[in-house]
Amino acid sequence: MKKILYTIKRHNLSFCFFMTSPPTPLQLERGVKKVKLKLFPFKIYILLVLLVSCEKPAYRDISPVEDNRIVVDGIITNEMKSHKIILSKINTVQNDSLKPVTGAVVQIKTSDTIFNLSESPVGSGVYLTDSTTIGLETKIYEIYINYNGNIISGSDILNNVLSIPIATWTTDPITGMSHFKFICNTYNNIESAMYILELDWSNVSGYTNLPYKENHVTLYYYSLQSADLGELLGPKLETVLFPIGTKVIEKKYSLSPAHAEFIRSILLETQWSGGLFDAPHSNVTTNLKGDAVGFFGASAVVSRDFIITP
Amino acid sequence: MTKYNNKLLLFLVFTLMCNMLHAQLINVNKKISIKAKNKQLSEVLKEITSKSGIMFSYSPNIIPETTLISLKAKEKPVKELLDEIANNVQINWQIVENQIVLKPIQNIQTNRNSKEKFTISGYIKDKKTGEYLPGASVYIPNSNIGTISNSYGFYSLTLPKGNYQLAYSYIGYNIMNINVVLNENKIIESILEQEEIALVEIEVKANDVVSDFNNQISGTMTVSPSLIRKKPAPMGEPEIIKTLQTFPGVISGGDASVYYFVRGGQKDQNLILIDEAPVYNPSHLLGLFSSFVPEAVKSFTFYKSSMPAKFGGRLSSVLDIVTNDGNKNKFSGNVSLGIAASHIQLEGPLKKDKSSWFVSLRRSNIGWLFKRQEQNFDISFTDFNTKTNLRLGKKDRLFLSFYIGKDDFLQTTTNDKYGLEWSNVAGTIRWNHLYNEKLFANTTLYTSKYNYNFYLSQKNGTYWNTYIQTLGIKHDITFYKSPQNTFYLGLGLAVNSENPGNIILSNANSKQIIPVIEKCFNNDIWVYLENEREINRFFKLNYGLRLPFFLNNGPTKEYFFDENYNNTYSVNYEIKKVYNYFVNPEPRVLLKYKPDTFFNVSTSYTHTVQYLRQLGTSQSPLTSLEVWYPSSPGLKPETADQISLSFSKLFVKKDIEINIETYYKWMHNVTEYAAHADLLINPLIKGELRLSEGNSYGVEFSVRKNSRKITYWLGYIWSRSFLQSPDINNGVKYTAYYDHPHTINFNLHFQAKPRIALSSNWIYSTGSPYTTPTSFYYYQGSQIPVYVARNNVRLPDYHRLDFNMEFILNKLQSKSQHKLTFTIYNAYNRHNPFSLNFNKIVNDANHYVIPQNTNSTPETISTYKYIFGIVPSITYLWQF
Repeated sequence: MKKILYTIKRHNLSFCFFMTSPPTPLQLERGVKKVKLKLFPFKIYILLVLLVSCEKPAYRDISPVEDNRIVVDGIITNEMKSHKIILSKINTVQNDSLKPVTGAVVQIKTSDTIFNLSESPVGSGVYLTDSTTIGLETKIYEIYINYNGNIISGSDILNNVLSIPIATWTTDPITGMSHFKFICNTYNNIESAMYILELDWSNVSGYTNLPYKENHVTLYYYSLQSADLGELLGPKLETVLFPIGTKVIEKKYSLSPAHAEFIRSILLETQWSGGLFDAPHSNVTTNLKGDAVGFFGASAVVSRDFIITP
Repeated sequence: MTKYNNKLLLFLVFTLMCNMLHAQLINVNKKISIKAKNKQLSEVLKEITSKSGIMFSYSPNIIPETTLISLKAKEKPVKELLDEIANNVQINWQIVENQIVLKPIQNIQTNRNSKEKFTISGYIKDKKTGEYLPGASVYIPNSNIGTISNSYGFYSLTLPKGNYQLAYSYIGYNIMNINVVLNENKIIESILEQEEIALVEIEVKANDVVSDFNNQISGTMTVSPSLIRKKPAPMGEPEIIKTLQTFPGVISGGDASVYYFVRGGQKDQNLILIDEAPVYNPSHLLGLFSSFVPEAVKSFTFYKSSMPAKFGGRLSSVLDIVTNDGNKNKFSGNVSLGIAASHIQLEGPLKKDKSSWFVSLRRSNIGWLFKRQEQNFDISFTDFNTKTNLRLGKKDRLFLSFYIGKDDFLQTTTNDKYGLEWSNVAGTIRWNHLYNEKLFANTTLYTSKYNYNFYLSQKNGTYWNTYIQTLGIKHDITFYKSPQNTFYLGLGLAVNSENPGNIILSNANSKQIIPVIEKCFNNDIWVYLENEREINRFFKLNYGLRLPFFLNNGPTKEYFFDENYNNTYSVNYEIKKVYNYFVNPEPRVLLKYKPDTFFNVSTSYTHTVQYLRQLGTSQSPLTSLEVWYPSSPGLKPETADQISLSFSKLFVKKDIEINIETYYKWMHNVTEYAAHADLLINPLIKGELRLSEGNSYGVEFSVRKNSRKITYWLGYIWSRSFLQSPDINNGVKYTAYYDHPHTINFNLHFQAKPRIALSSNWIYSTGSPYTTPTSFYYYQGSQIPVYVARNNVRLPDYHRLDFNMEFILNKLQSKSQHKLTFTIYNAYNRHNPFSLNFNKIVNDANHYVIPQNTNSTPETISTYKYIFGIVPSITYLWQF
């Protein structure tokens, strides 16, 4: 039998007692009241104390440092398509827009083939191969860039890729919105891989006439052969929600050891940074020689399409 | 013959009558009032003369007229005052004609001619509890002869045959004076009585009595736990380590952190001992609280330089914690209830005045508070201490100590739990044996284990585990050759094993895909010899040598690396195979110059070696997945050389002590890490380390005022700490992240009324160095930071004000006491950042999160993290 605490006031004194049944009308008339434990002070205390590690916006008073190195962002894959290399400049101001590097000579070479890339559209900093270009597994691909006499080069090996694990997601029954539950194991001692998921719900009823950025999402997931503190006990990630009926194109990219290390260093400096257990910061690695940052990668790709169902 | 005898009798009667007449002329029964505090003897005598008309006669050459004495009397006969003075200053008085003649009682000066020497030895105990008092002084007043009781309360003083007055003193206790006729070896168990509790304000040794000032050693502090109770603490839970962090030369790891950095050393360079067993992670709740309950602790001594040769294994400091022995006289205990934790402690005699037991249990209250807010969290910590001490005979004592501390930080999902769980276990068996009055020996058998599990699935038994465990035995001998010459010698052996982090999986198939990190086995063997001798009246020398041998054993697999840190080959070693060893002598020397009683200068040189490292790249104030890793082939031990110079001046009249210490420290093979070091689940963990050179220097200034009403303590430290490695920051020297050039600590304790005490402290330090981006670039839609240098900026300065109010609820004379303590931690709600980031966005729920959608390219903002805002708390303590 559950005991409930009641109180009654007599001569300015409160008397407390337990009862197993509700008070009778007579008892209620005489002023018997159920005791409501006031947890308010504890709640305040919890708010004050137990929500440790609070976060607030900060103003970083940093003098910008000019950096004239070129940023290389591109991957050649085993897909037959126009492969893209983006060349840009380093920004001295956070959130500044991408500043393209235009007019560069860009080539991708193997031991027996040279692919010439052309900037398209001109002035965009995006350099494309022709649409019949295809990377071959086990081959080493080298990038060559000449920008105003500044020679940049770098190479990567195109390793094969294993099959894609089945993605899972959960749907909130009230809002009807879903988010991914599992894409890949973040730790995988056998293979390092990158997963790019392109989500499109522009054909889902109610979302058809929205701007592109409001019904299209690109998400990146990684499976690496290492585990890091920032990854295990890292900061909270944005949860991207999408409706039932969203079309998903999931691509899995193989990563060479150097490429995996580059990705890991990016994650340590972005996604896994800003938690409770920050490590000393360092510059992200690169496989490029010359005045450049970024990475030129070579990956085998497997892909699959699916639609988000309830 | 009878006639002659009668004449003699008549002469004696006449003489006596004459004396009586004279005595009547100077009435020693005359009552006067006098109030003298730390006044010279000559001044006090003058005051007595002016009030009573009695004249004094003495020779300044043999009577220490400059000796400072305190005297308080209201309408007291002069005779009683003179007895009191005589007792304090070790003189005799007698009426000769119309004046009082002062003469010294026979003392060491006159006894020095005696060739025969005898030893006074024994234990110094607390009257109320029978606890042995470590660090108590035994001395001959107005001489430089004396000694200090060791950590077991034992003392030994060898003196020439003669009559002596001996004084026994300990902070917070009344001084006890006894007269000794030393014509044979004597065992004297002295029992000291505590001063009235409410009137004792400060327990930091070497402060309120000159003898303690004289015993002060450069870079060393001994503290009693009652000081810790009086200091404001986060959530009202008193903390030994948080108190330590306010000492000059100690830099705090941040709000709510048990980490501390001593004179530019790293956080793993501090040895923490509880009853002589090492504790490897003294933290609860990721560091919000430390493992030691102040009520369970008798005293702690902190060494930041000039560590005794018996201590080794860490570069920067030693924290030696001695737990309570237990009340030998009666059953007693205390209970405390706080917001964060509750504690109960019981103790009592096994055999009255001979043996006792002690039990202490602390359990957090955080869990149920959290459960109201977050139903699926299971957060708790527990500490359990117990000790038994047995007197086996006149010469033998046995101490059995055990400590276990445990933490759970688990989150429950629908059908599983994941999170952190760690524990510290330490146990010692110590046997004190007195070979003879001059030879004290202690044998310690100890064990310690720190175990840490990070559960990925508690249900499936999948977790990441690291541990370090030690089993050791040591034998320490103290030979009290003479008051001027003491030898300390000893030897020991410790067997260590470390698991530098492995994933434990229940699934047999999965075991094949997780790399195995080799466990490490090693032995520590050491011998040491230290001599403390008085060269002459002004100089005291302490020198010693510790010789440790560190041996790496199998079974293990050792990886070898080239100069570019690439793994070249590996070797498997079989069980018990010693495949590598290090020998590093650790000399140390301390010279103390004491030109007078109130001033001393000391200088020291210490060389220390550290074979075990705690690996972890986190710069957070909170503990995380750190692992312990031994020195081995290709990984040299860390070494440090430190010189220090200190000046101490005691202004007795004003109860003020000023200390200035300066130091320079060179550190070699200090642990640093490769960029983005991979330390978890990496068999090649050694290849991620970068051994660096470090140097630190600084000046520590402190002023202490101790009086009955007000005690304050102001400390200012100017210090710098740098590291340099060819593989980090392009080989350019950089500031360590714990470099805080300016640190100020101000502690105030005010005994407003006998039952009400107020305390406060204010802390300031320069912000920590931090690495922040100077530019950015885009890669796959994310903004990637670019850094120009390591630790190129500093976080905002750290400062905090805390208050504490203690009320004794019952009468002071009551046998049991009820205390209520109100604490306000961080009174002006300062948000002290411990990290600064640039990579967050604000989501719909108004939380700062890392962006995931690379299509939207939202503007990222900078944020900072802090631990505590204002934290009020209340604690109730019942002592019985």
